[in-house]
Amino acid sequence: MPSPPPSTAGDASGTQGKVTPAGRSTEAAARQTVVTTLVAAAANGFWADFHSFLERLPVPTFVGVLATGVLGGLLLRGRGPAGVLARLAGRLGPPTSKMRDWFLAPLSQRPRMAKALAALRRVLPTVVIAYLSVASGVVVILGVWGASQGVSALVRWVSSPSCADPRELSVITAPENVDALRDAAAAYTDEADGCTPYRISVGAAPSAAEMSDGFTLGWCRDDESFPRLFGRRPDAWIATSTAEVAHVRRMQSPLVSSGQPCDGMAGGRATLSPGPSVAGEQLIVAMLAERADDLKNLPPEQKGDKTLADVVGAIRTRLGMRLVYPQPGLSSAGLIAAARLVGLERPEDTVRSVASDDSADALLCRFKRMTKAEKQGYALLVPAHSVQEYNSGEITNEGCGGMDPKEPRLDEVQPPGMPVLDYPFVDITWPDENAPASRDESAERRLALGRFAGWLAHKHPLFGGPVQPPALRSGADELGDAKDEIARRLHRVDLQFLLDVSGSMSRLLLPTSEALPEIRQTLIEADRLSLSTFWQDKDEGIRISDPTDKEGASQLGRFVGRFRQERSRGRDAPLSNAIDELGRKFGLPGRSVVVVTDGGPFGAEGIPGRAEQDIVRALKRSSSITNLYILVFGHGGCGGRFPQPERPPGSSQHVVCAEIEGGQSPRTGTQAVASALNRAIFTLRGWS
Amino acid sequence: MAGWPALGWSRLPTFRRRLAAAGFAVGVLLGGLQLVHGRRDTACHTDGRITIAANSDVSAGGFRRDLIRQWNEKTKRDDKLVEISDSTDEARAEMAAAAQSHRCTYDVFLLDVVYIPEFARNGYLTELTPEDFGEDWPRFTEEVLRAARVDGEQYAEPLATDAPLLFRKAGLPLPASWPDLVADAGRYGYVGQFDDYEGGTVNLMEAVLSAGAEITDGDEVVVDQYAEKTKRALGDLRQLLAGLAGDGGRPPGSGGPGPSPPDGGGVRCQDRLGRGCLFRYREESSLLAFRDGDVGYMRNWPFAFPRLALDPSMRARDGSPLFRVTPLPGARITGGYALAISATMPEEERQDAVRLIRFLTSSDAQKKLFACGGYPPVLKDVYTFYTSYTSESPGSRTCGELQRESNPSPEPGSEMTAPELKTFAQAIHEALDGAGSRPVWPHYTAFSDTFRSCARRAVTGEIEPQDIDIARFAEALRAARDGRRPEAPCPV
Repeated sequence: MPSPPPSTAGDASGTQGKVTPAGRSTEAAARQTVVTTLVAAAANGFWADFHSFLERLPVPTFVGVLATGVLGGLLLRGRGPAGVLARLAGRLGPPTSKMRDWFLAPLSQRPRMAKALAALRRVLPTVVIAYLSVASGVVVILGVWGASQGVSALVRWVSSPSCADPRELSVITAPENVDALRDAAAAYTDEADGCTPYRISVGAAPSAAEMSDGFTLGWCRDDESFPRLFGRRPDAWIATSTAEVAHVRRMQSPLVSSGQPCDGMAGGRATLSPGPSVAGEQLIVAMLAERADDLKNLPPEQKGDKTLADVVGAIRTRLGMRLVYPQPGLSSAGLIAAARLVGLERPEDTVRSVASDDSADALLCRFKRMTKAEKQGYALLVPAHSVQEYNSGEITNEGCGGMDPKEPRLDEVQPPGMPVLDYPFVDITWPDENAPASRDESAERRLALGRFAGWLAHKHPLFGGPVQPPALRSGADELGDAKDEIARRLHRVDLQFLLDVSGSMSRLLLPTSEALPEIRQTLIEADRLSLSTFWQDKDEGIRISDPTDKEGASQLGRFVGRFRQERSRGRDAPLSNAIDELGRKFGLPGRSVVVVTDGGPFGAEGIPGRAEQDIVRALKRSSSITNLYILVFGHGGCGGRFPQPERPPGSSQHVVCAEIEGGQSPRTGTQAVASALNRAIFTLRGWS
Repeated sequence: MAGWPALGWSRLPTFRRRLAAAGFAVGVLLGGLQLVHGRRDTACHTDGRITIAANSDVSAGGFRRDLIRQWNEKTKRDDKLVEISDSTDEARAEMAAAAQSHRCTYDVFLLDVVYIPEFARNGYLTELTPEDFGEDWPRFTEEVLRAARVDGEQYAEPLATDAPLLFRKAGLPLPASWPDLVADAGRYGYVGQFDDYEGGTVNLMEAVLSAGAEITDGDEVVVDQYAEKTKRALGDLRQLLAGLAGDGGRPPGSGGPGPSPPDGGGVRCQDRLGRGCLFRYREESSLLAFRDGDVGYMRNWPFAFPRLALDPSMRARDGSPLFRVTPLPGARITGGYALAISATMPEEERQDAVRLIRFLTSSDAQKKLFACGGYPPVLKDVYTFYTSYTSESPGSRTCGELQRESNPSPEPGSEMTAPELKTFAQAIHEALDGAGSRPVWPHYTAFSDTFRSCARRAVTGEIEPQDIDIARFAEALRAARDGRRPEAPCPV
């Protein structure tokens, strides 16, 4: 390689066509720049690709590097097909050498660099021999091990005709979609010939807030009681809409989570990757056919120009119906409905529209139990498929019963501008899936989920065909904003829990305390919570504890912790005495009291048959208690007392008794108590 | 390529030969280390704590949690019980998924005994050795110990058992056999668990076995050898349930005690196919139907006993119970839960896990679980202790007595009394005697789904029992047993 003279400073403006020393210097500098840039770019790109390739190999990186080296060696030195690179290099050798010299020229111009290159050439054979021999050793030992594994697998396969355990996959979706998804998952797994490769379990997704907690805390909540999962840890989530995914992602933060992460579980925060839409439908307004006819038959001037606001307004004002949707804090469909309507209605309409039901199915189930006269007053804002399932009697959750053939069906009304539900298939990746021992299994799991998502999207959409997600404003959280707006519109409630802690409540305190965190989404920030307990001591008579300090909704965890410290003691105390005593402890009026009892205090009244009158008298004597909501565990626990919300004569106070069905069951206790508490808070909010 | 070394061994100089040999040795060493390291990666690193995976606590008082608390206080440890879900199926799926993906999350599984073969044969569990547990085993009742044994090896130590009991309203006749029960139930009302889930499989299997048919024999499916008996059993059960009111109550016009239920009383309780909602009952709903409805008999698991015994509505004015409990007549299938050690558990934690399991299955813990939580015990001496009770017997028996410090003077009716615990223990003990277990197969879940998908449709009336092609049904069960997708087992 000719050694160019050292460059010197000089006139940079050389004559065109004649290379001067100064011109050569400029040329060398330019070439050096080009070479450096090209080499850096090529090396960078190559390394990124090579690294990515190594990560995908089913062996550790260092083994991958060695194996690649061995393979490269074979291609360079081998004979026959393996020597293809060598032959190619032989043909391309001379021009390649020239090119190499041209590229390396700028480096060779520097004496130190030239020396280094020469030294490198001298040690290269030794380095190559060392490298290949180490690589060969690794390949030999891993080859022997791989062969033994293969033989072992073959023996197992021959000796046992049984299939391997199917891979367990878990998908969650909103409660009203669970049945349809279960059917689809069964149909998908049934398509496999022979051995079933997957077992897909389908579960009901919790509320958006709980999901964001779960995705932040490793799907496990560790409170002062015991660590527990939010159910089986999901591998995928079929959200109700893309907006819901955005909402949950925005809430995913350790700072806003309501619980503590479980130590060592799942490894922390999950990554949500929305995939294809696997269904498409709209929210619709459902009402009895005769009411739908009434709506159709309204004169044009009363219908307005048929925008969504007009139709909603006509339903409320012209038909005098109550338009309701499931509770936005607990139901994704309810939240999407609320987000669409909240800007079109007055605050008092919002208050009347938010139902206590935690899902579209729960709302429809409650609707089914209503009398026909009651049903005529309701219009339900729910997903279209839920109405179809209602009409075909397919909403048969435990406790919901079936469908009487004489039961009137629901008609669908589809005003323009109703929200589209696009049901994205969201892949969930947990941090511990990247652990070395889990990586291969996780990759297989991802692959299986991808296939299932594709099958749902292209072959078996859940309801209607997949749709394009509605455009979201960048960075906006429309659902979160709607939730905040609804919270502003709802009336605050000052809740005083009055807990019966007599001995017979010993089995019921646990399900009650476990249910309390579930009311979080029913509370608004302005609500206040406080706790008192009552019992009868053998020596000291009726005892009632001082109300605890008022806690806001954001301090629910502290309130629950306080609640969990309660232990049963003593015997039943008369409820009327407890109300008297509690009323004296309060200062200002406006308290709503929620009594939680097993009904024993009714029997402890002076004359048990007159418990109702005694309680009403005690309530009237107390100027600080505005409303009384008595929750009694067990069927028949109220004994027919205060079956409907009522006002004692001459009083503005309200009182009602509700039974917690199934609340004594350890299997359904928490849910039953949580539902009853949510209904109580809704009722009291309505009275506030 | 000029400058590349000649790689032929004979042409290499001595230094380079030595270099190559040394390099090869280093490579072998590195490869070996990688294998060892890889295996250690699939085991798990100890964090000094044991994590037990379990379904939600089925005792209303959370006494299982109390036991873990006591263990931690006693040993100054920080072991955890992680509750997965109310649903046994969900809990199983979570545990299996964790084991499949080597998640290292759980060290000990509290498993429904029916899933132990699946977990054991898939290598998710380690065997319990006689060195660690052998001296415990003679203390267990043989039936429950056998349920946690796979291929002759013990894979789990039982924590609680389950055996089917028959509850009947006071004053009704005690059926001596399955046919007697079918006859009495037809007059006074009956509820079991016939929803589409594992409990439904057990109820259907018991009905078939009670009619003298066999479904499996060891590893073989033999139901096709009992075709007529199987069809007759399903037909009889269908006839019984179809004759009842929709909620399982007395049929209209029946001659039972009290006023006759009105005609059409069952219409309010139907599912979408017009069948009574008793076909959707599970443990809880059947219990409520028995308690609140006009239902004379109920087949249920032992958890129902404390629920009814402590329910004021199930007591007469003088405090005597308004129900009776006995073993279910006919064939009985057991259930229960057992503690197993995960295959990925670090070896250094194993002895701690052994001690924890032995603590949870000790006599003291079993008494508390039984008296406070209603968990049926697994130890012989606990049954002897409770069934031998007389008013002069020494020793603490009730929950209050066993946990005297935390509940000094329990309110009457807030816990089971010693005589009630005696009745309860006797019923379970007798029910365990002669009870059978479900097939010990790794793909039992698929087998159960296939069995139920056909038998349940015959019982609910979707198909005629006589139309079932039992040979085809048996083939489908064999395919499911091996984990293969079965052909449709029933006429469509």
